[in-house]
This record gives sequence, C-alpha cells and structure tokens, in this order.
Amino acid sequence: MSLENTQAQMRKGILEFCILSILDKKEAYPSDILEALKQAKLIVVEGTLYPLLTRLKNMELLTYRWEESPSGPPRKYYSITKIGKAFLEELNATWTELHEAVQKITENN
Amino acid sequence: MKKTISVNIKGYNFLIEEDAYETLSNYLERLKQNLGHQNGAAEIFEDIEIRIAELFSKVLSDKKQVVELEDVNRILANLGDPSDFIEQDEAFEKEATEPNWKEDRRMYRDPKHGVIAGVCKGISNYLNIDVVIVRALFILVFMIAGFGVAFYILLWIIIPKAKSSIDRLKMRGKPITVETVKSEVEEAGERVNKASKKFAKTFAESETYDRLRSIGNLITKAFGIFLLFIGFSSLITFLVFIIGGFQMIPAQTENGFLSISEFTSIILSNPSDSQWLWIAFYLMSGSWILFFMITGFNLLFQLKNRWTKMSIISLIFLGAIGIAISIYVGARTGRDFAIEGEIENQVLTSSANQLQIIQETTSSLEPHVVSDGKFGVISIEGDQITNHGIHFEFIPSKDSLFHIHQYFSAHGLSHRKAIDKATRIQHQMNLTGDSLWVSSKYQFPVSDKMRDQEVYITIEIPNQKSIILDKQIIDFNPENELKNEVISQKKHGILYSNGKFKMK
Repeated sequence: MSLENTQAQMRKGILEFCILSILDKKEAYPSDILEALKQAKLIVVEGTLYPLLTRLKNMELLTYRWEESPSGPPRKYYSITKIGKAFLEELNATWTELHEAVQKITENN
Repeated sequence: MKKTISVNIKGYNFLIEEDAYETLSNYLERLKQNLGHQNGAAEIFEDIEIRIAELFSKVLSDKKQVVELEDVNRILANLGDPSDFIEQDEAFEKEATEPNWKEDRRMYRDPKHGVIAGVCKGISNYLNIDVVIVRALFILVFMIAGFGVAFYILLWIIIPKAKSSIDRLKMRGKPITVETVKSEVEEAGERVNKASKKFAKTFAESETYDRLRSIGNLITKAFGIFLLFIGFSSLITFLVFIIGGFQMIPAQTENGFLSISEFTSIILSNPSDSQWLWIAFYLMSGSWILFFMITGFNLLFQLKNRWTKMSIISLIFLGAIGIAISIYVGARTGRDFAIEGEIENQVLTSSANQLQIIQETTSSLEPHVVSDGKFGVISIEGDQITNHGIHFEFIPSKDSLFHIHQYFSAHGLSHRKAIDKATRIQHQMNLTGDSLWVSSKYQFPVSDKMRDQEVYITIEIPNQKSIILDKQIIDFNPENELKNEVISQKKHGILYSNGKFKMK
C-alpha cells in the first residue's frame, strides 16, 4: 500500500464527517462545500464529493432544495436533517475517541 | 477561426468551442460509464454537470464569451478522472443500495420510556401500537404460570438497547392510522403494478435475485409467525394441563379423582423423584414453549445477535436436562419393577360337581371380577390402594376334586422385597358349599407403591366337572389334552388344551 493510498483512505473516512459538520453550521451548495474542503486540504479531486452527497442524501441524513443562481445554473442547496444531526453527534463522539486514542498511541511511541 | 457549439445544462446556456466540447462530452461519457447502474447514478451525473456549468459561468465574462479547450482541461483536471472518484466509492455505493434507514427499522428496547427494561415500549415502537396494549397482552397472556417473566427476561437479553439517538430514530415507524394504511395500500398496489411490468421485462436480469430474496424473507416471516403460533398453542395446552390435567388419571380417592402428584407418589419409589419429575416436566415444557416463541420472534423481527443464539442454545440445554432427569427417574423407577415375586396365599378344595364362581363386586365401574388385562380403576382409601380385576387360570385336576389356588404377585428391586409386597396384598375369596365367592377388588398398602401387584386364581378342574363363571360353563375335556389347540371357544374366552383359559 502506497503512502498516497493510505492518505486517501484516511481522508475518505472523515470526509462524510466533515461534510455533515459543514452543513450543520449552515446550508450550502456543492461549490461552497468544495471550497471549505479544499481550504482544509481534505479533498484532492472535486468529483469525490458528489457520490458522497448523493449517498448521504439517500440515507436521509441530508436534504436539498433548488435555488436559482443569478450568474449560472440553478444551485442545489443541501441542509442537514434531524437524522443527520443525530448521526453527526455520534460521529463527533467517535472522532473524539479516535483522536484521543491516536494521540495516546503516537505519544507512547 | 474556431467553430463553437451552444450547450444547455439545467436551463443554463453557454457557448463552447468544438474541440472543448469533444473533450467535455468524452469526459461525461466516461463518467456515465463509470457510474454504471449504481444507486443515484443519474443524480451524481447531474450534480457534476451542474458543477461544470457553474465553473464555466465563472470563467465566462463580458470579455470572454466562449469556453475554450484549456478551460475545460483545467476544470476536468480539478474534478478528477471519473475512474478515480467513482471506483473509490463503489463499495460505499453498494452499501447504499442495501435497504436504507427507513426500511431498516430495527427493534430496540426503550428503557428511557419503559417500566422495567423497555421491552414492551420497544415492541410498541416497532409495531406502532400503544404501549398499553403490549403491556396488557404481556400481563394477560403470559403472567399466568410465570411465563411472562421468563419471556420478558429473554426478550430483555436479546433485544438490544437503543443507545444512541440514531437508534431512537430508527426504532420508530409511521403511526398506523386510517390515512397511512390507505396510502400504504395504494402505494403497494402501485408498486405491484410497476413491479409486475418491470418483472416481465427484466426477469432474466439480476432483479431475480432480489425478488427471490424478498420471497425468502416473506417465507421466513411466515415461518416465524407459525413458530410463535406453535409456542402459543403449546403454552395454552400446558396451562390447560396444569389447571385441569389433575383430573386425568383414572383413579379415585374419597375426595374424588386422583391428582397427578398423588398418582406419581404411588408409582415412584422415592418421594423426591416426584419433585424431580415435576422439575423435568417444567423444564421440558417451559423450554419447548420459550424455544418456539423466541425462534418465532427472532425470525419475525430479524433480531440477529449472539444473545438470541445463546438464549436458544441454553433453552435446548435446559430441555435436554429435563429429558435427562425424566430418563433418570424413569430408570430408577423401572429398576423397582425388576424382579417378580409370587406367593400362594391359600388353597381351597371342593368336591362339588359344578363349581359356581360368584362375583362380589361393589364398584359399578368394574362389574366383572375377571381382569381384562387393562389398567383397572385404582382408588386410595386411607393407607390402602384398591385395585380391581383378578386373573383366572384353569388347568386339569389330577383327581376328582376342585383345587383352588390363590396367588399374589408383585414386583420389586429384589426377590425378597417383591415377596414382601406380595404378602401384604389382601383379597377376599371364600368357599361356601358349591359356591366360590370372589371379590373383584384387592388391596395393598400405599407405602408399597404400585408394583404390578396382581391376584391370580388357578382352579384345577376335574374330569367331567365344570365351572360356571359369568353364566358360562367352563369344562376341561381330557380327550383333547394332547392337542395343544383351542378346544373350547366360548363367548367370553378361550380354553386352551394346555389348561390356560384366556378371557376375551
């Protein structure tokens, strides 16, 4: 397994968590989300986002509405659902646990 | 000079150079291929199209009216090659095609809103019925004979607790109202309609597997209901037996019919055996009933976890213990029947020409003295057990007199014990003139238990003389003595040439 592959795997796992976190603050359309993820250097190829969004939407963690754009095609504004919030809460707890666990282990080494 | 093409994405129009268009449409084609038929493919495709259109709209301005090849290349490079991000997510997507959350409603206990462990509340959440109804059913149907308690505890173990808020959301379904039922039915009708059309079209395709799976699911559920039904009917049988079954033994005491526990106490050698037998009985019937209920419940609600397995295994184990105990008690009791002992109580002699056997019977249930070989009506009076039915045997007499032998026999662990038991049998038989008075009943102490105590009367019949029993004449013809065959076939019995007389 190459370094790139490992990095990609690590990123992918937390990508959903981050998408939900972004949308938990306020609703956003894919370009906003991509902007945030790119700033955090979490995403390499933009295309990765779309299957994830569809998946989360199908899981009913996300919902969306259409909005006309003044300068381009209509925008799909995603927002988090009640189930999504609950899901995110669980992920937050897991993340804290993992973070602590990783710190503990890497410190010891 | 380059040729441009006008393109429309989701109502947004723009111009694009021909070579750029070629690149773009190649990319989209590849995207489509990579997406294949996975769940939400069309949606992902559309979203990416919109993203591309949006990036184009950022590139374009009043000064730049046309999308060029380099723009397209840059944008597509940012998006990434379809094989890079679609394949990555294939595993995810496959997961997503599994039944989603709404269909994946699970059963959880709801201790927050429950009384004890939230089992009833969990069931009511799952089925969307009022928790009061579930509780009432539990109390009404199960609390009898303590079964509710056992069943509740088992469900407590096997139904997982709703730990997270997601579990909480998962465990709730749509409430059952007239409206939802109506819409469900309508939807179902539509689905069936669509499905049958689709089914006709794509029978040969992969849909068949899913269809088979759903049929399998249906069969599993039906089987679950069937097992629950067996469990319930066994429970009812069990209750009927416990409540009413005490009257099922054909035996009487002064207080009416004998109860099962009294009956077992006169059969089993050890008083503790009776208790063991009851424990075995409860273990066997209890685990049988709970086994069917839990298995049925499990199939119906698909509770797959190790607790379910462990419960079922331990129920089978308990049932096996019950069987083992009853085998042990049976073997122990059986040992007490091992050896037969016989004593001759008295011998009477009569010189009558025709001996009349007079049956003395007090019981209207046993009008005949002669045993029919079946289990007679047993009754207990004080410390004595009374049984009915005497065995008669007829053999040729060596002289001209009737010799009447009265034998008592019983079984026991040893010959000594069997003989002792036989000695304690009491039976009335008197000879007055030409009449032999024989009582239909005989008695033995309760403490001897029932060890196959029997009374045999063997009468030696002299040549040319006969006996009257039950208005029938029984005689012995020495001329046929050598032939070992039936020599007298009368209405009520067969007299064999070897002297044995067998009642019909």
